[in-house]
Amino acid sequence: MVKFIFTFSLLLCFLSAYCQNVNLQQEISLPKSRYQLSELLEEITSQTKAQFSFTSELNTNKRVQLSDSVSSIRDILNQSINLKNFKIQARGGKIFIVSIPPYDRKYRISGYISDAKSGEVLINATVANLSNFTGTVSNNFGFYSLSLKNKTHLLQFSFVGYKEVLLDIELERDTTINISLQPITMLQEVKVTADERANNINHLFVSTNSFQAKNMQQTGVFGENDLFQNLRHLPGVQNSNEGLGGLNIRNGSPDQNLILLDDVPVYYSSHLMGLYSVFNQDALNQVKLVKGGFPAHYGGRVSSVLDIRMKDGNTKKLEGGYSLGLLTAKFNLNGPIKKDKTTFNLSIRRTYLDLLINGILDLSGSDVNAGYYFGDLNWKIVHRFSQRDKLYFSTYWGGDLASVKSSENISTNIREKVRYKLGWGNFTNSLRWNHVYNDHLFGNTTLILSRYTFLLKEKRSQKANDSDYMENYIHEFKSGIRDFSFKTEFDFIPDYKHYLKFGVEASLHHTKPGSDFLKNTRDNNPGISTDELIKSKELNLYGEAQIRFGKKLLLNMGTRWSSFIVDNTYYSTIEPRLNLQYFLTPKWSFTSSFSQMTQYLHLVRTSTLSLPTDLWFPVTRKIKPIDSFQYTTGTHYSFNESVKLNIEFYHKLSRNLLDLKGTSYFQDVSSDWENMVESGKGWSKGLEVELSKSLGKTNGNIAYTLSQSKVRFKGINNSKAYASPYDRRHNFSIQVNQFISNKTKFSAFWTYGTGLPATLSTSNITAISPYDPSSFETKTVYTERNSYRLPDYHRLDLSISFMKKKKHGTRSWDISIYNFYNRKNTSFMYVSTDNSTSTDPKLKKINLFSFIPSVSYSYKF
Amino acid sequence: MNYFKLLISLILLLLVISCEEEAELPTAQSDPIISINSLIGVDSLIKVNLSKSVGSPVEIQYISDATITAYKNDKELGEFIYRENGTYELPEQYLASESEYQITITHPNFKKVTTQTIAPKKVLINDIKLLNDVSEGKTTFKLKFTDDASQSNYYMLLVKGISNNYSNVIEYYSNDIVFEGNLNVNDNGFEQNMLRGSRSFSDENFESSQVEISFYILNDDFFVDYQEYKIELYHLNEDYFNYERSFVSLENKGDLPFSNKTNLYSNVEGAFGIFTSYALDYKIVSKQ
Repeated sequence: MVKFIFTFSLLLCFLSAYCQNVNLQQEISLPKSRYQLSELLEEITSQTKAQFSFTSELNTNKRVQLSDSVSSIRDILNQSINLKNFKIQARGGKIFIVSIPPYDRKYRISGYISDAKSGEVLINATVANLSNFTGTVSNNFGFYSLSLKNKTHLLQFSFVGYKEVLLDIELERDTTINISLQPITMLQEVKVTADERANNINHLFVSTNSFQAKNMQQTGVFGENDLFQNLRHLPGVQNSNEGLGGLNIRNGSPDQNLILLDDVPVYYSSHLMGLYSVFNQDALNQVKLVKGGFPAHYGGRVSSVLDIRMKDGNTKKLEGGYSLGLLTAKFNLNGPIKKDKTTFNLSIRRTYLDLLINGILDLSGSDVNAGYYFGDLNWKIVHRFSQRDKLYFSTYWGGDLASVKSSENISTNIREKVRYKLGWGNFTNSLRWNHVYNDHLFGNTTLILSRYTFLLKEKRSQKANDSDYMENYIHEFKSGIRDFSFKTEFDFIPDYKHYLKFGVEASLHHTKPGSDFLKNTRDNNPGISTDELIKSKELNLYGEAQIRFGKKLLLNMGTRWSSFIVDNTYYSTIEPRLNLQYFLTPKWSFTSSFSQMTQYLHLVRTSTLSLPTDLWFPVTRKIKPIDSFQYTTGTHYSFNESVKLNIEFYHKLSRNLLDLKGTSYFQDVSSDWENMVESGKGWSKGLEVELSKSLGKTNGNIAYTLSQSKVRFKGINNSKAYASPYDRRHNFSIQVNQFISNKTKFSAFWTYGTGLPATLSTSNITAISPYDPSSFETKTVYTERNSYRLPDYHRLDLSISFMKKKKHGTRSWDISIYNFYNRKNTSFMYVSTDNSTSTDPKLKKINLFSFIPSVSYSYKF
Repeated sequence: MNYFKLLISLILLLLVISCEEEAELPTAQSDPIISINSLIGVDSLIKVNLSKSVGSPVEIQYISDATITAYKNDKELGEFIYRENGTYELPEQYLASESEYQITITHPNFKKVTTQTIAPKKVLINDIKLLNDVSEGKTTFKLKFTDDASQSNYYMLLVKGISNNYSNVIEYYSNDIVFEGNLNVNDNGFEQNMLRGSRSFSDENFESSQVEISFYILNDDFFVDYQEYKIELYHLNEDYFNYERSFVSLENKGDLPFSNKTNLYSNVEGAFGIFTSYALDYKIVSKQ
């Protein structure tokens, strides 16, 4: 009690003392909007009786323009006095305007960092203050902001693969400086001019790989320089079924990867059933893969985030290129529409397999016309209104289309023409507005439309004798998902020790499991049409703070609150995130992280392939969202700016994963899918090692992953745990790029992985006929899920490029060989019960993509 | 739906540049597992067939020394007696409709398994009409029965041709919505593909409790001149329905590459097989 009275008395004393101070929050009404400062101070004194005390340094003759007629004293003074040079304090009945000593004054330098040749912004470029080895990094839009004391500083702007810029600067006011870095050619030797302590300032390395799209070296099947192929040489990234199954990151399924193209989620990221990614290298600027330690601004999937940024377009001059390969033709054009104001980037890619096939069919006089192609179009336009405002509009359209046309005589005088079309693809749009509110605060507001559609059309028409064809049958089927999102986020950078990011994201998901339209003109019935639309809403709020403690410890902590509503079912999750990085020396750091992720959309797959018929479904009352909890710890060592060693261990637990029940099959995924799947748990762990050299005549990387992944579902596999479909124990790859001369580059890539799990029906049982209880048949069944392994996987890819400078640009011949030593890698195996050749069942292995040579020609201007 | 054809064409396009290898089948990685087969009709003798899973399809291994105990509505009925070829019988015990039966199987080499079934009630055929359309070469049947709307019901329809006191299950086709396209004569689309030929259906698509189903046979389908047709309406329980569907889908799926692996439906935990029941009503109609 005595303690309480004592504390309470102290509090009262404190409050009474406080009350005697001038209240700076007190609102006053000002008759004018323009004042001389001395006049303004007198006006405040007359209304509040507060006396001002200030030094002669304060220019009381300056004119002041006020925004509001009624305002608090603090707001009025904040508008009138430069707070960089003066502090405002209220004590007793006085207001002190105290001059900050010049050496304590802080000013801010901010701006954008870009490529000097193309004007493309550089993401994650370093700004280091070499006088005290503090600094910052540029954000996703190339913006940086750093506060410095009022004295001379030596600033270093750097980015891997670019010549660093050293800037000797003495700040007297907040300053905006846009920096352009000159790219260095691979043949130039690495020169380390600055102190190694300037490296990696404020860079968090946890489970993240970033690279520029122009440095993608790895060609895939038919020589296409594919993004996913380039990701597969990173540790923790593996492919299943020879690239046909999408990307598997840290043993997660492909649908657990959040793939963002200019902030827009891309739902189906592959062409040709997963063989190629939908991302055209010509359109891309920067790629960031986050496998763990997810910052709070990412969410919605549980395994990884692939953040892809499209090129803004060259700000200096018009440039572009084209290429012709065995499979695809590409064209790119980008440049300024209005110099330093508006830029555009246009990229087009199309395969021409269909043209070749149809040509051959036409030559052979066939009545059948069949083809398949995929195409992509990327379009981006960027307009800079001022140094503070930028508007971006990006569009991606991409799709696959297969078609068959045929005609035949169905009777002596009637000919029927049948046309099938099967198409699927993405259409994504984002409109983003960047605004620099002040030198501390950067904002980005985005409107998003993302659409994935699968479409089938069947049309039949008939004609009698010489009459025209009359359409008599139409069938259309559509399924897909459509997202409308609004997102606004802010980067708040109070000083070099703190970097805060916070935002809100709201989305409407419209899932269409399948709509049918059927019209048969022969039976005079009206068309039959069925449609179903599942509407769901998602709201996310997040905030994260990156804090630097001294020069050794960097911490990023944050929280994401996600919520989801569908059909009166509501889910909400708090997702904590924590990343730590401790620099033992400037070159050597240790990292650790924890992150919880939640996924509210499930991809229901109809096969082991990544098929376009796979459907995204929102969670239901019965099917709950997937939660994952991932812990990582690792160490990172930079031998120099180019050579780096990363070792990381991860452990991941997932809940509410889905797998097909033992006897279920997807006849039609749009109906009753909830009853065909079981929910269960999964856990994965792994060790990743990567040694990379990014610069110089010889560069490349070596990656090794040791991992284990298991799942358990009630009612499947007798409720016992079994290997997950993505459980590859050892995964090793080595990539070497060698510049033989200025004109010739050679690349080699070898990968090895132990076999993926497989389920084989190796047991035979007698099964009673459902139509005759006295009759029995032999059926092959499996006793355990994923108890067998595919053979080990390995292959060697080689490529060589011959470049030559021409009058208007550079031409290049690229020759590549996929699977050089013709390794027959098994993508799928099954037990064949075909008794035509033998009574014993045999194991059949399907091997895809043996030795495939390819050649392409490209020209860049 | 025909998009399956196109998808398969695309996959085949990939497979053009692929190849298939044959290898020796690895030995089964688990010990033999008991397999139970029992589909019992109401008013029929209660029988169970026991065998065990094996690595080779040619060597069926029946189990003759198991102990099978039966229970009816939680009361022990007695032990089964072994007859031959893995078949056990419960002497003098006939399946009663709407009763619950449970069996327990013990054997020194296998872990004990238990399974049960509830025998359904017979659903009577109210009417059957037959129309032979010679010009179209098909014989159409119209079957009427009453569905109990107060519960979920599962059915199976079989057509048997009778000739010289010998009956044989014959193919029939139907565009009726209850078969969800599984018995369309020419449709081999993806949706139907896995269940193509399935003769079971549920009451999900019934419009009223008075059900009329139309189906037909193609007169040219048979080499035998059937004089009569036996139309059998099976009232199934859900396990039987699931078993029939998985039996058909396993057959249709065959060696389809890149498909998800599925197994034959079983209602026996820790073992393979089925122990379920049905109630049958039938009508015999003469050929017109």
